[in-house]
Amino acid sequence: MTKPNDNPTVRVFVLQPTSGVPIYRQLIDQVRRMVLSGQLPPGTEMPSVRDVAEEYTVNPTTISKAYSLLELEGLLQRNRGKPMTVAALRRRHGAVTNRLKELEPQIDSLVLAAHQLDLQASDLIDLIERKMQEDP
Amino acid sequence: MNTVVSAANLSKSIGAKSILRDISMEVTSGHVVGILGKNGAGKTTLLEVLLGFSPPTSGSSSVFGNDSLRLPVHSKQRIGFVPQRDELINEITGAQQLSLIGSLSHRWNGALIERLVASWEIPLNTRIKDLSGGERQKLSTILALGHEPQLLVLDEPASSLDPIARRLFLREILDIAADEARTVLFSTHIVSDLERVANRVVIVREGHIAWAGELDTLKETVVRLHVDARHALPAAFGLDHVIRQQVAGARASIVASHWHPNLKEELEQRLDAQISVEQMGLEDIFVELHS
Amino acid sequence: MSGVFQATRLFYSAGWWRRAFLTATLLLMILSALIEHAAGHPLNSFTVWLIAAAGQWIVTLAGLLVMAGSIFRTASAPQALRLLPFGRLRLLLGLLLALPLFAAFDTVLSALQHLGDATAAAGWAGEVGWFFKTLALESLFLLLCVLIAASQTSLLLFAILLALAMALAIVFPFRALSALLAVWHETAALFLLALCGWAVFAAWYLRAPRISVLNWREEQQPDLLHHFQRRGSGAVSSRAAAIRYQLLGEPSVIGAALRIAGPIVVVYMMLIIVVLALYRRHPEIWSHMMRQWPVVSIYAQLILASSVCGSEFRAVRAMVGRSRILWICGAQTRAESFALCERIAWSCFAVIAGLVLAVGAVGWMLLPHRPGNWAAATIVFPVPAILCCMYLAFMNVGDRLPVVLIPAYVFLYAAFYLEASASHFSPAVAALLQIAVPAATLAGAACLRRIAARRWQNIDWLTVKPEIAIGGLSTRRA
Repeated sequence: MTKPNDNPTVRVFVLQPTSGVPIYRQLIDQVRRMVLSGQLPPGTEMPSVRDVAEEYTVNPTTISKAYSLLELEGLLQRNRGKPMTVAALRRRHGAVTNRLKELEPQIDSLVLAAHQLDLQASDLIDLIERKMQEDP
Repeated sequence: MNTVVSAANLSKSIGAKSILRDISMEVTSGHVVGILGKNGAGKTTLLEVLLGFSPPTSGSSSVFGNDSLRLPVHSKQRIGFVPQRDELINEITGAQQLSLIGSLSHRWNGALIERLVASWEIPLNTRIKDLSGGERQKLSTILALGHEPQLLVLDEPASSLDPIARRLFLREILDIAADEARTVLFSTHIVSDLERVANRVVIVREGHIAWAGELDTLKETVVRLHVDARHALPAAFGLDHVIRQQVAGARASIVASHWHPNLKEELEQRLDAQISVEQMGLEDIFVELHS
Repeated sequence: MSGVFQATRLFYSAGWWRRAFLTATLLLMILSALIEHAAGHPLNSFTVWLIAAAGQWIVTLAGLLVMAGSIFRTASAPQALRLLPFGRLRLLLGLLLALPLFAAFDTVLSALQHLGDATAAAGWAGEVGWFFKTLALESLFLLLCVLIAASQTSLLLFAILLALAMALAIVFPFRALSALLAVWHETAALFLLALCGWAVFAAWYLRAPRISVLNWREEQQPDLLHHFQRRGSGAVSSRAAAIRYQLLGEPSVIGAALRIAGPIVVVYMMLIIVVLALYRRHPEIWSHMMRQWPVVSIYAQLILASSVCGSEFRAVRAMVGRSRILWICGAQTRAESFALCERIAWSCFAVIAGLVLAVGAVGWMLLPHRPGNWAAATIVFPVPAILCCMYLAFMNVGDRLPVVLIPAYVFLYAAFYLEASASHFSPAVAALLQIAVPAATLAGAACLRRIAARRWQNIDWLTVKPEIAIGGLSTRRA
């Protein structure tokens, strides 16, 4: 039977099975964002595949796939006999362009919205600079 | 990873009506495969032919490596089947029906049955004819789970269940899915269940297989493109596998399959436009594939 | 008016082959009557007489069978009719139209037959008398069907009342019974009787409450027999018992047999017992019956054979459908499951046919009858025919009625040969026929078995919907 999930991290994600984005990709994006923003500091214990699958009623294979890909990226690390943990932050391989590439989808939708609202690139850039200064 | 169910050029016609046309598919162990299709597409017929209830008009199918029509006893004992219309005996109670089917199986897990009956709230001491449709379906499902089959085949398993019952049912399916050696094959038209539970999808359209593969791949390759160009767009985009396109001057909306992120840059350059890629949910994909 | 024709067509069932069958029999009847008339009286050619008699008797009875089956089915499943606007009213009017037509046709036939022969028709008071007597017969038959089909409770009540009446007739010699029989010759009385029968039928048929779409649900018939049967179904004791339960929908073979063939068994045995009981006190009744209806013995046996054939067929057919689930959760190969179903079918046969045939044999043995080996006829001839029906059901062939009629026809011809053999064949030939016909039918049954076993290897459960309830009167299909 389901035992109470001990790890509070399990409830921190938002997974939508009916979205166009596959579940594993949603999880990857969210974990990545949380790790990069510091919400999940290095060393945090990740909930087990089984717990996540039970909590959100999704297929454990898809969670396992997400975890494997995150491990390949270097964000998570596998510990033998113990649950996976968030890996220590290291300089990501590749230049700024690689990292920027990951933000491209968001920038695409941002640009599309800007076109629809009839905004100029300079307006956007100002706004972005302001926001980045606010962020800790 | 071994093949649990396979079909090769399977065709089935009843009388003059051709229901299945040249279907070939494989189900490997450990997967949860959802068969999606419109009503009348042939989902039930496909499942029944695969399990040997009905001989195919041509082609063959096998389960656990044996021909479906001549399944040996030990193979059949590893299969659990929940038919679309339950075949319960109306005049007996739920408890009697459970003991009836239980005595037919060699391996009956009483504890599991008890747990499920309690959790799914099935009244066991009322006559089956007095149960509601949802309760009958729940009972029918439990009958197939009792002997812990390695292959669980369900035909429209949750159609009569309310959302809570459906959630409990999906939890049980996922419990089975966690076991690498067990396979689940189910047909449905409730797309949201499939998106939760299945990792592979087979879309059946008019007796053919319209799409078969991983659910994630399906979501990633069938996309809707929003094109915003500087000049009026040509009628032909030079893009393969377009399902639908709507062009209005310099804007267009295209639904394409076999999409790859690499295609985006090339298309943007060729059309001199901004393209934003929208990934569609399974329900939308299903509707588009049938348009 | 068109509704009435529609109802009549529904009544005779929409299948094209059924209409073709009825048309063919009608043509054959006319042909036979003409032949008999043309050949003159008395007939000197046995072959011609055979054809004529075949047309006259056997085909008439077959036509009655079809009609009886349709009435039975319509009366026992009125739910479908209730959904049609004014459905029952239309059916009634259709019956009003159909039965007199049939009676008229029969009258014309007999008139053709006895054309120029004044003495033969005298016993039936001319054509008009014949018409009303036939009509009365049909109406009484209809009434009987309704009483049987209404519910098992009504059947039980009917049986009890009849038993009481019989007990009274045996204990107190009812002198007036002979006088009552004399009434049979009176046309007016018969007409009134027919009217009464019709009134009761109409009242019963129309009084049932109108069903709206909202409460369209499987009708819960208050069946006493069911109530007693169901009580005893406790935990299943063994695997074999579980299999039997799953296949029959009942814990025991006797329960299943009772449920399927209950009405038929009761009716047929009532007939024999009534005659036997009456015969002891009023032997003139029997001779009266034999004089008026020389073919009543064949008639009764026809009902018997076709009813038992039909019951056995239905039981096996239901089992074939229900064996579907056993394929997946059972532990048998296809050959083993065939043997299993066959064994249970034989148990059903033993119960249904054994009881009915035994009582029939006893009845015919105790009653005086025409020379002919009737005791053998009531057992030796029907049994292979019933076995043919059984294996035909295993073969999962299409519509039911023709397959039930075929063995019934075989049996009919066999009984007819017996009847004919008394006067036309030499004893040696007659004895030979009595062995040859059943032997041939048995061989046929063995062939059917072989084919059925082979077909079972590739049985297509998609085309055999499992019948959920092997009800005696109506089956609800999945």
